[in-house]
Amino acid sequence: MNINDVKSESDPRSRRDFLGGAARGLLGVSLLPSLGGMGGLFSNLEEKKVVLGPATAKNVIYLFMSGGMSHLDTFDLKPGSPSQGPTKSIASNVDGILLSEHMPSLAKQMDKVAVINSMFSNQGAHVTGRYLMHTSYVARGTIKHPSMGAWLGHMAGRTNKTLPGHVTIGPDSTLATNGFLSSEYAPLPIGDPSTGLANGKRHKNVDAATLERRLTRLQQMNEAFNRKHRSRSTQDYEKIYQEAVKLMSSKDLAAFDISQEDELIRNAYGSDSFAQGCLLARRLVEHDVRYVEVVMGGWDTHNENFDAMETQVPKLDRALACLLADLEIRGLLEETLVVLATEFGRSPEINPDRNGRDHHPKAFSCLLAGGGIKGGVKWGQTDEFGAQVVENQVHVQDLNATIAHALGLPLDHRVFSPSGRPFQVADKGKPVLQLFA
Amino acid sequence: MKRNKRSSLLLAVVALMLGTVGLNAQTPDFEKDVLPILKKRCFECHGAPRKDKRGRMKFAKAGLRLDGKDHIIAGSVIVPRSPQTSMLVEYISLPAGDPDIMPPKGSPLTAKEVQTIYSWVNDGASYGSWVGASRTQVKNTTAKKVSPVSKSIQVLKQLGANLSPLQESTMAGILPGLAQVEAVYPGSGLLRVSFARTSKVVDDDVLRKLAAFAPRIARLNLSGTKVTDKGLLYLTKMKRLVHLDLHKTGVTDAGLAYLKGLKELRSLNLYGTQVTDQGLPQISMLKRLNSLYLWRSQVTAAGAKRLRQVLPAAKISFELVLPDPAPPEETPRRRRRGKK
Repeated sequence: MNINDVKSESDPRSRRDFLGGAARGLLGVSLLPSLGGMGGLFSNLEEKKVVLGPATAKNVIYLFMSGGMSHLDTFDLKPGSPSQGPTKSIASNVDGILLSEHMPSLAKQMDKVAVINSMFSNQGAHVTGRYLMHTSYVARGTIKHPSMGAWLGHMAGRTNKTLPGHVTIGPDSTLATNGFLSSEYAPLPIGDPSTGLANGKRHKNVDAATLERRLTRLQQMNEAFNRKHRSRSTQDYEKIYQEAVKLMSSKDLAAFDISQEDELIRNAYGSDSFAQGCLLARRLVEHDVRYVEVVMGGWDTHNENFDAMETQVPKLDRALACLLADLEIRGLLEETLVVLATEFGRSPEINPDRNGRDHHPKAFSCLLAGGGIKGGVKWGQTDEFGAQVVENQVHVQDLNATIAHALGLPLDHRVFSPSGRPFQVADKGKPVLQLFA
Repeated sequence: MKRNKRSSLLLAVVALMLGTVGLNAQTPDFEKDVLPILKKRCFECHGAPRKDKRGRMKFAKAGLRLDGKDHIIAGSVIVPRSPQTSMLVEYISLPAGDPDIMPPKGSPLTAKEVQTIYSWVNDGASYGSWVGASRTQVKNTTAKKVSPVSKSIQVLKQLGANLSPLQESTMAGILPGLAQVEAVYPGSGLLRVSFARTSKVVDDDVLRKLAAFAPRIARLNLSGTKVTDKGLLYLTKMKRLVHLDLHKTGVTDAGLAYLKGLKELRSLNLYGTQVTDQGLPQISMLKRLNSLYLWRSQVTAAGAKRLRQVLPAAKISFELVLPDPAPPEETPRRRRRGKK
């Protein structure tokens, strides 16, 4: 190993890191590698060939309710319990599944959905909770774990080779990550779904031939350097350019443009960023982008929980109801798994001074729909207060194992981090097989 | 380090007490001696969930309940025969005024009370016949063994049982650059063939070239291609076809005639085609159909209704029902607290 490699890699918070972050945010093309790893140092730990299992889902739309969605005010209603507060419940089209009064549209579609009321996390803070939910591992200072979309790319590859396999939409693009896996599995971040992919086209003053010439020259200039410094980092950099150029010339770029959508459908989703993100997610899945995450913020309701529910829940209801109906009518729901997840639930105790609910990782709710999942199912149960799981507890890792199982990803396949430690797609989680049709 | 300081302090306090009370003290009885102390000084915060004055739920502080044997054990605050390492003993023995002392309100426990709990723990922390509040155990549905393979995969397993898997290179060599070909699942001899990525250049002739592999094709995606009714003739050989996507193609009722022999077909996507009610009798022959997509076709509501009666098990997606258009976003306004 060259001395320069050691030098640059022992200092992960480098100028490159900064530029990498800036490129992700400003240029729209992610794909910049995380340089924290010691690429190649432990290359003797060879990863075995991936043996995929049968998949019931090709694609995933992962809707992340950031901040901690109150289970008691959405999908785990406890009418008559003192922990319920002013939220009223309504019946859905499935016996025994109650929803918040603010979900009239979703109530007509619960026959497509499996509700998991028995989610359990051991992380009660936002950052660590989100990290666990996305990666199945507890955050450690020395390692950055990949999230599900990156695992999928690494183990199963893409369907559409000209579009990124992994896209994240919304205000926080840091949740989904390639972790220690190659930069080619990093998500492409889309900040604002209504503008779509920023800077995705060739500059108007640069014609195709000029671009080609410049790229060839760049390659010539890099060649000597890349030969001398053959490490994952330099390879990752090459890939960035290749991916960016591939994306620029993709004939599927229209997938990113939701203005091409029927006005009727666009309006039905709603005009807020999450709803438009859901619509964009549908378009991307239609173009065979395999893993799309849409983030919705605003769920950290320590203050005035019930006021917040009046604005948050209807937005979720409308967007999710539209997404499910829209996927279904096109035949996309058969092989698209829709996941609604959050880092934790909110406390059955309503804090007296602020009329809010605090963090509650011991019991919360998530949803699964499509992609081979049985609809109209309620899985697990909490006690009369919504405080503790009393039946069929589903750990965060179990939920992720269920998603991975649907995608046919082998749960026992081990991938080694640059420091030589073995990791699995859902840690030691077990899939909830009862949820599959 | 704080803990060490505490432990030594605790030992000092306890040593003092042992001196005063004497080592001969009888083993305290839980229900007679210990429980009354817990009831009086601990249960207010570490008891069952209750409502406060405003009718809101209050749960045990720090998730620790002391009103039941199982709760105390689950809380891990007592190590039988080792009062020195028992958290409960440590916290009640802290000097008055310490920010962590329990109970936090009122006077600290008396030396005699601390001594009672200390000796009880030291003598093995027996609860006698006392059980107290029971702790709900997480129940798991263990009833029947769940198959790790879902029904849709089982169908493919059975259909492909007699077919040996194709080599990767063979699959890659099927209409390269035109078709995406892969096994329906790794190791299966059945194929999933998609033209979705090259749809604009795919026509009936391409289907003809696929004929050699027709018996292996279980999933076929022709959406958006230039395939016409005539091309569907080549589908008659695809006896193992389970899933057929023809959405946004030029297929009409005439083409559906070729599908009626596809006995294994489970899913048929005809959204955005020119299929009309006249074609539905052909579809009604597909008895295994469980999903049919007819949105934006020429099929009428009455036609879809009739088909539902003939194929009761099939889910027919005909109409996109969307919520009413969203109201324009209001400027957020905070409502006053307490308003129902």
